[in-house]
Amino acid sequence: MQVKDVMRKDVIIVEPQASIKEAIGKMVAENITCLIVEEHGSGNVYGIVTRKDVVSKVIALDKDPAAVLVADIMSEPVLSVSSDITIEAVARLMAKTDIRRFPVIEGGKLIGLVSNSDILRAAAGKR
Amino acid sequence: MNIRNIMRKDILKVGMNASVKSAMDAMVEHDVGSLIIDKGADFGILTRKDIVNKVVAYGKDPAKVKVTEIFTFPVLTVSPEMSIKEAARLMSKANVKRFPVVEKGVLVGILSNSDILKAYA
Repeated sequence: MQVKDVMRKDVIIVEPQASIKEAIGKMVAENITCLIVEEHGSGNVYGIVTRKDVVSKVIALDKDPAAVLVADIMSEPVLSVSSDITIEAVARLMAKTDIRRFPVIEGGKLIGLVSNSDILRAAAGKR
Repeated sequence: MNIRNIMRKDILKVGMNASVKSAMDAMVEHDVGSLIIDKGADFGILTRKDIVNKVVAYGKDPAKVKVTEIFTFPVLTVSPEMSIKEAARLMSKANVKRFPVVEKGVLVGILSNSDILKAYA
């Protein structure tokens, strides 16, 4: 089974200048753990902002989520994977890098997101 | 606001003899990222990450691996009286995203970083 068979295709985008408060609202409303940050005016440079970034870099430090920007805490550049690698290979990459989700890129374009929950569901045979 | 207000109280447990396969099925069915492994007087924790990184990544058959081969024990726990901010700081320091919540020696809940995020939404 390959990444393209298990990835999530509805990727939620946030702009780098959005506030963390806005990002939290999107994450909770969409029930997702990360947002892809799209650099304004450039189609193929992506950052990522995760639940963990918000908890560790904003809430833990008692900062006001309305006063922190996505660009301040996002990860950039982002490690991405191609859509045709196997889920076993992605799982190994996750283990090596201690990262639990990767944007999926094909022909320079973002086409999805694969997380360790997608892999768990696929490996359990319940996609 | 403290942990008691936002923790998850429905704790899912599996026994020491369970296979990783049955743990995966329980996680997917209940849509949770971790399970408590019941050790009688004590407990450990098994996460989605343990399964993906230690079983799926190596092409092992989950039906043939026991939860006790890959789970974490002992586990860092927190008290329900702790503030959310403190829990967030601990998560950041310990690089974990959930803590079992223990009160007077009894497991009373699970706190994850998603519970914290929801409290701030």
